[in-house]
Amino acid sequence: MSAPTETDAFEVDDSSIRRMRFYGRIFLGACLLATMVGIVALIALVFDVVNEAWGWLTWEFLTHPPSYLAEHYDPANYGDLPTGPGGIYPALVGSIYLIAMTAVFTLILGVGAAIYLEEYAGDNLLTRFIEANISNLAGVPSIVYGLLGLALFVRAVGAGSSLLAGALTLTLLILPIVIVQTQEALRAVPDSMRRASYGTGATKWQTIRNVVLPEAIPGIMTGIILSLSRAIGETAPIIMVGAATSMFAPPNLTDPTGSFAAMPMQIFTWAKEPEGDFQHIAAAGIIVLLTVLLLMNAVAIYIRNKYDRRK
Amino acid sequence: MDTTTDSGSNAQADRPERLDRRLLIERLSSYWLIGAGLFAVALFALIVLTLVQQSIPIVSEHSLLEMLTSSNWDPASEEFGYLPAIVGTIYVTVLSMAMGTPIAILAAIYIAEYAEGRMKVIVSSFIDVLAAIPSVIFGLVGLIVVVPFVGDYLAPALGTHSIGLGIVTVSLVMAIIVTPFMISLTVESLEALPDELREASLGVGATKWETIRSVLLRAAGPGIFSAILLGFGRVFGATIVPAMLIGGQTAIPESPFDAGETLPSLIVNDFGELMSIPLTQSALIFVGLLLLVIVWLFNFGAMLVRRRLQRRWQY
Repeated sequence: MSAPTETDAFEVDDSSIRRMRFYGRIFLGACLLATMVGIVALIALVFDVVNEAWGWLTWEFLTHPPSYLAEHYDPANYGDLPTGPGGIYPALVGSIYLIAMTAVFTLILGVGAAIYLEEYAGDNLLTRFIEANISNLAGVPSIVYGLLGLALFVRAVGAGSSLLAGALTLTLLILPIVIVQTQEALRAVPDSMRRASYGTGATKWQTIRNVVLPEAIPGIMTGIILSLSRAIGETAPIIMVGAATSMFAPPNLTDPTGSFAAMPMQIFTWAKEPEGDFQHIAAAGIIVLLTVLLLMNAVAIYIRNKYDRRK
Repeated sequence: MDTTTDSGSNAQADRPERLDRRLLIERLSSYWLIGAGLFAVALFALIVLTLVQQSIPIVSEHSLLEMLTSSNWDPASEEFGYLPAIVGTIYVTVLSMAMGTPIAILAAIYIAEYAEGRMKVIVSSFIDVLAAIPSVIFGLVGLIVVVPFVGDYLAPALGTHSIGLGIVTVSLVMAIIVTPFMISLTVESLEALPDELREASLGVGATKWETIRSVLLRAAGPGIFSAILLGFGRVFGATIVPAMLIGGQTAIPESPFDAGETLPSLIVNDFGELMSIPLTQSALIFVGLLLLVIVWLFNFGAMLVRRRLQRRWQY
């Protein structure tokens, strides 16, 4: 290099900087590539499911009970079936009942426990021990909750393989997450509001009911709905509790100890069938399940955004 | 003020009754809340006690060491060897974490450090949606897409044979499932780092890549490590995908392309008709207890690591 003499003082060997820049670009490329793996997987997954289900997802599929024969699900055969088309109806209704009951139990147990931990229990060693346990419970595999539900609700309590046992099992499964998220929502309510309420002579319960809960309810609802949308897709616990593999009438909400069908179980059963066409049927079932799940997520996001804007 | 003196006689008659009702409601509500709180505490004990109590029959019949080291699983002849399922579980966990961890860390770095504005929102919502998809769906797509891919292309390309169902298939699908979970935890621990760290490093002339490599990854190290441990726990306890894709073979797999069984898939696959065989239920519930203990060890390790990180950065 023959650089002019006046720039000599600034003459540096920038090859190391260039090398670092080059590594940096390679690294960014690797990061982008890794991110694309997740995105491509999601797009491929949705595309594949829609592709498989195309032509099989009909109104009749939503409103008819399942069948043992793949031909019964084929829209081309609907016309000449003595038994009527096959579908997902009992499992769809079963899943909705299951989630509705789980929601009630979760409100009573999960929100109650969170209020107790946040508003009643003091900040002592015991409370911290309890909270550590709860976050530990959140990592327990769902199959373990299934075994618990089987041993406890199905056998010991004697609820049998019922809607009630299923809902209680799912409640235990999401309870730790709901408690943690409700606690966070309660913690976000400023203490000055509680003090102002006590100052007007309100009791503890009146303060919680009229001041703390209204303020925390969007956060609590978001947490519960997101947890429920996780529960509706859980398959392993439902298998252990003994959801019916083929049920021809929807479960009866007035008889919670009767047997029940649920969408994940139905999809699992269809997917296990050796006959190729059942893959299309399972895919159609998945679209129904995903639609319900995404609707629940959308409601949760709507609630969160609506109340976030207010603040 | 005026109203209280005006209706003085009336209020005096009402007050005790209203106060009583208030106190009654107060007491009832506290019963409910304390009851729910106690239940949350009891749940922990309930799970452990139930699983232990239901595992007693099998543990008292067979020696623990024998069950953990025997490769003979045949409930009909009262043989309960967990070794094939244990080997299968280790295979699946190690393989899927080996594939998932680098992808998760790189993607998390992209989201936390490189992506900006709308791109960041779009990418993170894709990852969130992927995390929300139930595993039975991954199982079906695995059957349709990954099973033929492994059986017809991957195994022949590597000079082996596979029926498509097997450990590799499960690991590929589990890697995709566990990635979004680890991404969000890693993004969290990267974003929690104070900006001064980045500014100081860039200020002394480090490039962005050097900053990430030498400063941010080291500072967030414990957080990322705890994300990996939690990921291990996730894969370890995954049930439905192995049950659908592993092929259900209770023999010790010779290669990763073989069909096998994991501990959770053993529970699902042998549940049902086999439950009528004595001791089977106890043997399967013992598997649940094993899972619980191992996953708790992972979680406990993750908690310890995370606590160290929190103390260091005070967030």
